[in-house]
Order: sequence, then C-alpha cells, then structure tokens
Amino acid sequence: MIRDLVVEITDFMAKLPRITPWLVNDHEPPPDTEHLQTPLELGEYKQFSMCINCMLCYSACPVYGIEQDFLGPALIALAQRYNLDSRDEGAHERIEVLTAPEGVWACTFVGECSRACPKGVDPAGAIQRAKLAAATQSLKSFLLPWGTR
Amino acid sequence: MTGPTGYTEFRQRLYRPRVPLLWWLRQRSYLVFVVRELSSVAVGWSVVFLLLAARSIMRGPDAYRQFLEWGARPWMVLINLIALAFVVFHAVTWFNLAPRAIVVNLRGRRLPAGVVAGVHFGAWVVASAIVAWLVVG
Amino acid sequence: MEPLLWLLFSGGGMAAALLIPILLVLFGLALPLGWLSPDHAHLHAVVTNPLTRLVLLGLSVLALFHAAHRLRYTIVDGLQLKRLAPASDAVCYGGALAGSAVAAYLLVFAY
Repeated sequence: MIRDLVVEITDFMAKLPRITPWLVNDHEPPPDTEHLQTPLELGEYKQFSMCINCMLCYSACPVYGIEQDFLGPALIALAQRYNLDSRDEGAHERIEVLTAPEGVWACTFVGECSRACPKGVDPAGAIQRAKLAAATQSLKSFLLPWGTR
Repeated sequence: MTGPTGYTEFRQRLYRPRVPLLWWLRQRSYLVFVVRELSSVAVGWSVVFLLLAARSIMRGPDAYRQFLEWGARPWMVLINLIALAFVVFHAVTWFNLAPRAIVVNLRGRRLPAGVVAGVHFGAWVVASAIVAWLVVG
Repeated sequence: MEPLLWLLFSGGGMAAALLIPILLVLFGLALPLGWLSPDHAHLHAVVTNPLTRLVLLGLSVLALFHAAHRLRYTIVDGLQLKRLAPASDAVCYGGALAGSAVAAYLLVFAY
C-alpha cells in the first residue's frame, strides 16, 4: 500500500499468470449446461475466492517486504482457490510454481496476512495447507514412484 | 520482470519500501512471531540437556548424581525455567495453529478447528502422562 | 529438498511440542530439585530400553532439524541476512546433522 486507497499492484499483476489463475479443464461440459458442482464442493474453495485484490496482505507480510521474489499471500490463496475447485484439473500445472523456493516455502506463517484481510480469506491457512499437500505429495512420489499420479 | 532497478515492463518504478532492520519491533504481533521463532533455541537447548541427562543415566549412579547436582545449580534452574517457558509457548502456539494446516472433512462436513486443536492438546496431556509415569515408575 | 526439510520441521515441531515440556519439567526441575526421586536403577532400565532409545533418537533428530529450519529463516528474514544464506543455511542444518550424529552415537552405539 502506498497511501490509503493508493495501492501498488504491479508486482502482483506481473506474478499473477504464473499460478495459472483460471479453471483448467479439458472436458467440455455438454452444451446448454455447465460443470455441475455441489454446495459442498463449492464450500471447499469458496473462502479463497473472496479475495478482492486489496493488497493489504502484501503490506502486512514481512517476508514479502524482505524477499523480492516471494509470490505472496493473495497469489497462493488464489492458486489454492483453483486447486480446491472440483471443476479444475490443473493442480499439476501450478505445483511447480507453488513449490519453488519463492513459493510456499518462503512463508514462515507469521499470520499477519490473514489478520489484515478484510474478507476473511485466510491466506495463511491456504499457504499452510498447500505446504502440507506439496510435502505429502513429494513423500508419496518418493515412497511409491510407481503410482499413477 | 521486476528486476533490481525496480523497473517493470510497465515502465513505472516499483514501490517497494525498504524494510527496517527492527521491523519486528514495530508491531506487537510481529514481536510475538519472533519470540515464537526464537523458541527454537530453547528446543535446541532442551535436546542437548536431555541427551546429557540420558548419558549421565547410562554411565551409572555416580554420573547421574553429578548431573542432578549440576542441574540443581541456581543458574541452571533459571536457564531451564526460561527454556521451559519458551517450549511451552512453542507447544501452545503450535497446537493452536495446527487446524489452519490440517483440514479434515468427515462425512461431508468440515471438522471444526476447535476439535483439531483439542485433539492435539489431548495428545499432549496423554503423552506427558505416559512419560511421567515411565520416569517416576 | 524443501519439502523434505519442511516435513522434518513439521514433525520436529510436533514431537518437540508433545514431549519436551514434560521431559524438561522432569529432568530440568523435578529431579534435580528433589521433588521426585526415582532410583537410578529404574531410570537406567527405562533409558536403555530399545524402544526408549528409538523414541529419544527420533525426538532428538526431529527437534534439532525443527530448530535448524526455524533459525535458518529467522536469520534470513528476521535479521535480513539473505546474503549469508548459503552459508548460514549450511551452519544451521549442519549443526542439526552433527547433533543427530552425536545423539545416534550416544543412544545406539555407546552404551
């Protein structure tokens, strides 16, 4: 944040395409309908879709201030919004960016981003869940390399 | 894209305020965070201290008695009290943060954060009871 | 590499949180100050038990790597010493590795 209501979003916009922020799905739904989704499935990612790109989390995050390349809370929360969306099949496309050193691993769970968020997105929670998912996936592929995923 | 000069492809100077060295003193929540992170020193000390304890036990009753005398010295007690405070702080913050990372769905419903945290605190009590029972005999 | 280090940090944090407080209360306060006095023979039997050795070894290794990981990031972020990064990282994890070796020697081979 530069001043009240004056926000620097250049870095956010520059990094945005890297997390593939759209639904990745090769299966076209039948014409005249859409991909169906239950309320339960909606609930899985809804919280992370509430982001209004206000950048307050970036102002609050000390790691983002110190580490130029860190993706940051809103971007990772947005990536999770798509990863957890039942209509999306693009998690494998996002995993490289997320598991780069400047992705989830740079976060030290200060938690200020979630405190600052006016929409209750809880980006810190999104990042920790992403860390756990990435780490367990790493472990699985190491222990069971013949698995299909 | 955002190179060292701060110029981006959009040709405006990127606003990246310099972070002060004592950034963690600026806000209470930052300070609490750094204290939490520094608990790792206490964890490291505890491992060293406990390994020394184990070693003294394995060496025999005399070595063990010497260890107890060393541990009873006032400055040792002080160090261990401080370490204990840090380690307990680590445990409490750890268990309270666990639900943010561990999200469980049971039969279509999200397990409440309080339950996840409660399970951790419960495990803490059980583990402590088992250890105490083993040691005291 | 990073996922593994984070898993060690995570496991270490859990193990340390669950076990170190009570152990520190017992061996740092209660026993030296005489609040409790289990006899040495009993303690010896407990410590030399293979399961105890295994648990203590696991706790030591995990807790050391937990501390190393946290300290590494505290140095880079808290003190903003990223330029030291490859070296300070090596010192942190190297220290954990050395400590783990000592723990393994003590708990498995020495006695």
